[in-house]
Amino acid sequence: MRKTLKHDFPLHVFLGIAALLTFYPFIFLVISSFRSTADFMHSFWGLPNPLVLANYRDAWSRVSGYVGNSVLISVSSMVGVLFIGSISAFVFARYNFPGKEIFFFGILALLMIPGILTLVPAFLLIKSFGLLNTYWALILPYIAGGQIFGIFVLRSFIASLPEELYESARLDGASMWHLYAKITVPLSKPILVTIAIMNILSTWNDYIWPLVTIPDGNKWTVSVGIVSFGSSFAGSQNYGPMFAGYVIASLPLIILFMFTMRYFIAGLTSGAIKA
Amino acid sequence: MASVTYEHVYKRFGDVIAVNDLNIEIADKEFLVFVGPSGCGKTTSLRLLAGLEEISDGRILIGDRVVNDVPPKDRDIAMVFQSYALYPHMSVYDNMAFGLKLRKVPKAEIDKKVKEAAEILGIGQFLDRKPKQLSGGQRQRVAVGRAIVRNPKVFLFDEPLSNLDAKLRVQTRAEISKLHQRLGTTFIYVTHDQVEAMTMASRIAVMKDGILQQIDTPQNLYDHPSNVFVAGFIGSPSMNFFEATVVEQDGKLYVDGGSFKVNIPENKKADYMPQKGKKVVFGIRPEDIYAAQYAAPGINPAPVKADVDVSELMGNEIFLYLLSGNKSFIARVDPRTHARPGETLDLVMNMDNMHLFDPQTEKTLDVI
Repeated sequence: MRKTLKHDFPLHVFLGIAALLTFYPFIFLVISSFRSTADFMHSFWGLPNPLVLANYRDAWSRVSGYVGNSVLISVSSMVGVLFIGSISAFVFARYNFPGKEIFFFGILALLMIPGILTLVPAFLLIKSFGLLNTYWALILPYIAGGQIFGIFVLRSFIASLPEELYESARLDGASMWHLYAKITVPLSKPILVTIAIMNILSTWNDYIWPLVTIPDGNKWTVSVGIVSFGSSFAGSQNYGPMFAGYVIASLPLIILFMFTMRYFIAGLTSGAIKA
Repeated sequence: MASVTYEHVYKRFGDVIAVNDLNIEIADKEFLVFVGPSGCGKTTSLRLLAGLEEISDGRILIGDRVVNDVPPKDRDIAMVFQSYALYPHMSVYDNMAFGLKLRKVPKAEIDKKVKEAAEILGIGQFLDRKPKQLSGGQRQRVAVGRAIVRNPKVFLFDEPLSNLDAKLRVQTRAEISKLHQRLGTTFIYVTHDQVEAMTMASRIAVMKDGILQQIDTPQNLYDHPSNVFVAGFIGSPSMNFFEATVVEQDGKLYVDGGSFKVNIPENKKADYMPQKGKKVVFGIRPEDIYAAQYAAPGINPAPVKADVDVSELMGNEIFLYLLSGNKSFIARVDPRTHARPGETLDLVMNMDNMHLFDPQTEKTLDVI
């Protein structure tokens, strides 16, 4: 044991440095968010002294609206993706119908198209619907785009569930809806949480699409709003509230991940070993 | 409670005929066992009755009702699967209550039924547990309990014991038989294990290649197999078969197997006389071959000599793997028998229990 520790020591040092470098930007962000203007001038690399909590109060008053918009849009999109994705995947996995494979490969093909290529046609479509500058301009395309990956992942997972469970449920009197809601969804929980997190991550961090479809600053999401918020500090010496704003913008995702990490990891590894 | 009738039932998967013209009438409260090797169509026959497969041709009736187009949930049947098919995300209680909840049975009644079934099966203390927290035997009981609470007309069992260890299988076998007596409902059971079939069934349906070979009581199947397949499938170890000729000598009939010649008893002579001079398949069960000095009294003995190849002591008996000429066969003899590999042993065959089969059709030539 002792020998192994000695042997692994250089490796542990290397991994420690790598971990520090990975976390450093975020640590720097958090520390800076508590600095006063004077601290930025005279003690840039030191710990903040005193801790300026007012930075958060200032930042919150300007960023909270963006966070609220992002929460609304991300959660709505996520719910839509999970519902439509899971119900489509359930049908693809457990039922046969004419053209099933062609449909499925068509959906898979959409995964291969870079999102940026569909920007202009999607913009024109949303414009023709009269949805520009509304939350729907974000929510509907996010659901349409997000469900593709959801269907792809969920279909494989649902297809791997034992057929006898479904047969047993059918004998118990389950309808198609029961098979979906009472059997498939509960058993797919880890993979659904994984898709939910990945979907929220991508919608939360999306910058281009909300920038082009939402001109109204009051409806901006965090990713667009925080850029505008950050640029308002240009020429100022008071960066504390700016960094506090950045922390506030990233905090919801960190909290989300903390609470769902168990399911997320279970979802990522599901199917890796035989149950 | 209901009878079940298969009327000229066919099931085709593409070019493969999984069930071929199946005709069976299963009486109310009967315990029928489908038995046969893998791919013989026994599970498909059960699934056709459950409504999990569509019938290609023919009719299935539960009671007087044709159920060909009736969805599984409306057939009033319950099924226990080989893998138990318990819902892993639900507790034992919820697993058992699921079917009743879907049928909108009042909560108090569900509770009563689940607890009663749990009591019968001795799983009352596990109601809050998830299936993964149970042993194989306990899961099997939950699966049976899930079927019981529904109080169906017909219980279907698809190899429910095959995932249990040998000891538990014997114990559960007896429990299922007791359950049948207690519930007084029609049980239809599928297994590849002929011991399970023999010990539990009121009648056994033996299948091969989608075709029903014979349906009868366990004792009749054992005593009067209708063909070589049934004769070989029922009984363990299997019946021994020899290519032979029926010959007459000095007014007596013999089965001449080349390396041995055994006398057909007088009381069977008339039955087998039409086979005189013809080639036949001679069948004799291992338990009807005795070491000469330990032959059971009152049998119709025919002496035979054979070389011992392998001897397996089972405690209460010995399985002898023997050679007569170049033909190998098995005898189940008294444990006191001294038989070492390489030795020649004096045996007797109990010709009261002999069988003759047609070598072409493989059908029995016995007159029943």
